[in-house]
Amino acid sequence: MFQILLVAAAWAADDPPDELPDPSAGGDPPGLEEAVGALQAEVQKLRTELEQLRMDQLLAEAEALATPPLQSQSAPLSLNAFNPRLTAFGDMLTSVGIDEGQVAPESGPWLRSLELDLRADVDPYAKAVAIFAVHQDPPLGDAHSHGPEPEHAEEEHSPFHAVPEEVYVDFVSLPGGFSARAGAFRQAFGIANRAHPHDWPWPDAPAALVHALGPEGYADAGAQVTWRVPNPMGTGISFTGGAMDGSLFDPDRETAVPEWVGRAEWFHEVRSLDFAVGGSGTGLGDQRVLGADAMIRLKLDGWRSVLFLGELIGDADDLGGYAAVQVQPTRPLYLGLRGDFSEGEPALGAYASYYTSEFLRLRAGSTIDEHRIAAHAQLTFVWGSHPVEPYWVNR
Amino acid sequence: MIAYFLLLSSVFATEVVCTLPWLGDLTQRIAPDAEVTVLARAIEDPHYLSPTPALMAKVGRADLYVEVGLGLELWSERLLDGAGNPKIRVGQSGYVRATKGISPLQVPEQLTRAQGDLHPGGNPHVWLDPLNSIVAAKNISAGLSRVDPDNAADYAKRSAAFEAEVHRRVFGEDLVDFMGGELLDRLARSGKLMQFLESKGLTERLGGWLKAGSPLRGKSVVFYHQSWIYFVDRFGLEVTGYVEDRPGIAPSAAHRQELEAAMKSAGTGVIGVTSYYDDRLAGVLADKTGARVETLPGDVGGTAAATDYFALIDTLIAQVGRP
Repeated sequence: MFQILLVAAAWAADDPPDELPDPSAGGDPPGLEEAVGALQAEVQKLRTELEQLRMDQLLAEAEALATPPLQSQSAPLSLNAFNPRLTAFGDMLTSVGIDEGQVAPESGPWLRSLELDLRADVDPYAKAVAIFAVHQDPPLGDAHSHGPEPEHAEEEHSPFHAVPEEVYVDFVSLPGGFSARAGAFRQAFGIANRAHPHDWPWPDAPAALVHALGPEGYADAGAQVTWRVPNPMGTGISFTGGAMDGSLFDPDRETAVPEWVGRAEWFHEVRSLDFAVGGSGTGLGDQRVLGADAMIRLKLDGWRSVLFLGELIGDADDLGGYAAVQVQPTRPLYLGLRGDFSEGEPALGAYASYYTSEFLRLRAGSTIDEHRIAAHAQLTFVWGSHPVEPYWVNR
Repeated sequence: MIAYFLLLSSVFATEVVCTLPWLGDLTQRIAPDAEVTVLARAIEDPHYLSPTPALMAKVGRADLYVEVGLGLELWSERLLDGAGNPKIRVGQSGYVRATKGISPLQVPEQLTRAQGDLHPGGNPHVWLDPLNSIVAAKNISAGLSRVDPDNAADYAKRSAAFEAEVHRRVFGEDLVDFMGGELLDRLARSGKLMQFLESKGLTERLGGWLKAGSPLRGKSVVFYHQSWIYFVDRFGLEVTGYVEDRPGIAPSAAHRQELEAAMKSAGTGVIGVTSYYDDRLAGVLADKTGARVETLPGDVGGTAAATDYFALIDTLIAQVGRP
C-alpha cells in the first residue's frame, strides 16, 4: 500500500496528465483551470497522505523500540514473607579497673549482651516485638552494666544468662494520637532507661540509673497507654501512663497492687535545634522514684551535631543524676564526656565512638571515681535488618 | 474577615506530610491548596532522619503520607507507629508510596552487608531521573483523590499538566509536538531514544534537558555515594568510580589509590558530592587528579540554586556538564 501511494504521488507530482491541451493551440481550453486546480489538490492530498504514512511508519518503528507501558510490580513471592524481621545485636566489652594502683582481678572481657530482635505486624491493628538476650556477668560489678550481680565467684553456675528482654505488642492503629503497649518492656522512665544499653552513647551505665532503677534498668510486665497530643505547632507533647507488675519495688510479690509509671514529655524543633524535656515517675504505695530529663541537639550542618543530655533521678535515699555532652568532629566519630553524681560520689567519664559503618561501632572510654579508674573498650555490631539510628547518632 | 477565611481554609485544607522535599514540591504542584509538610531537610541525609516526637506530631494530623519507599526512609515505620494516626498507615487510603510502578535500578544480586549498606529493593534515588517524577506525580494524585475525592478531577488535570511539562522539559517542545511525549517517554525508558533519533535524522529536533545535557553523554565522572544511577542512566554519563566503593563504608587507602589511577586514565574532571556528605576525601582526590569537586543538590533545596524540582534538574545538568 505504501509503495503504491509512493508511485502515485510521484506520478502526480512529475508527469503531466494526458488530457491537458497543447498550450501552442492558443487560449485556454474550457475547464483547464479547474482541471489544474483539481490535480493540484490531488497532489497536495497525496503528499499529505505520504507524509502521514512516513510519520506512521516512524512512530511504528519508535513504538517497536519503546518499552511497553509501565506495569505495576507485584510483591516477591516468599513463604517467609510474613515471618518476623530478625536482627541481632552483639555488644562486647573489655573493662580494666585500677584500684589503689593494682589491676582489679576481675578485669577482663565480657559479653554484655547478644540480643535477638524479632518484630512484625501481627494484623492491621498491632505489631509484636520479642527481644531475647544472653548476658554475661560483668567483671567489675554493677557500676557499669545492666547485667546481673556478679555472683559466679561464689556459686558454681554459668556466668551467662538467657532472658526474654522484652516481649510486647504495640497497638498502633488507635485514633486520636493514642497508642498502647502490653507485655514486658523497658519502662517509659527518663532517657537512658528507655534505650537498650548497646544504644547508649557510653559504654557504661550512669551510676544514678543503676542506683534507682537497678543494674538491669527498669523493665517490667504490664501495660501502658501513650497519648500524643494533637497540635498544629509540630510540637511533640505526650503523656504516658501504665500499670506494671511491680518488680522494682516489690520483687518478691508481697502485694497484688501494681506499680504505676507515668511520663510527660515535650519536644520541639527550631530549625537545627531540637529540645526535649520530660518528667517521669514510678511508685508503689508510699515508695517513689521520680526523674527529670532534658536533651538538646544542635545539628550544625547535614551531619555534624552537638548533643547535651542529662537526667536527675531521685528516690527516698538519694538524688543523683548525670550530665553528658557529645560532639561529632567527623562523620563517623563521636566524642563525649559524662559527669555522674550518685550517693554523694561524683564520677567522670570520657568516650570516643567510631562507626566503620552503621553496623559496626568501636568505642573506647575511661571512667574515674573516688575508688577506681577504669578503661573500657567496646565492640558493638548489628546483623540483619537495618535498625533506626538512636537519636544521639546524627548522620 | 480575610484572616478568618484564611484560617478557615487552612483548617479544612488537605494536610499532606511528605518525607522528602521533592515529594513536597510535586504534591504542591498537584494540590496547590493543600497544606504540605516536608519532614527531611534537603541538607540532611534522608537515610538517617531521627523519628522525633515533633515529627510524629506532624504525621499525627496528616490526611495523606507520601514517602519514596524502596527502603530509603528507614525511620518512617517508627514515625507511623508513634503518630497515632491509623488512616495513613501502610495499605490505608492515606498512604502513598511514590515509587510504585517505577522499575528500580541497582537491585543487588546478592544481599550481603559485605557489600555495604545495600538497599534490598534497589536504589531508591529515583527522582534524579525526571521521567520518574511523572510516575510519582501520578501516585500522589491518586492518593490525593482517595482522601479528597471532591477535587479528584483537579488533581488528575494537574498531574497530566505536570506530565506534559516534564516531557516538554526533557525532550523539548518541538520533538514532543512531532512525536508525542508519551511515546518519547517510553523510547527514553527503553534506552533507545538517541539511537532512534540519530537513525531518523531527528537529533536536531531534540531540545530540553536532553539537549542541554548532551555534553554529559559519555563524560567520565566520579561520585561520592551511589545515589546517582538514575541521573547517570538518563543523561548517559560514564561513572569511573565512587569514592565510597561500597555504600556507607569509608573507602580504604587501596581503593582511593585505584580510583585515583582510574580517574587519571579516564581524564575524569568532576567529582560529584551530594551536599549532605563530607567532601574532604573528594577534595583530596581532586587535588591529586586535577578534577574539581561539585557539591550537588541531592534534592530540592540541597543547594541554593535547586529551588524546586525543575531547578534541581537544571542545576545538576549545569554543574556536572560544566567543562
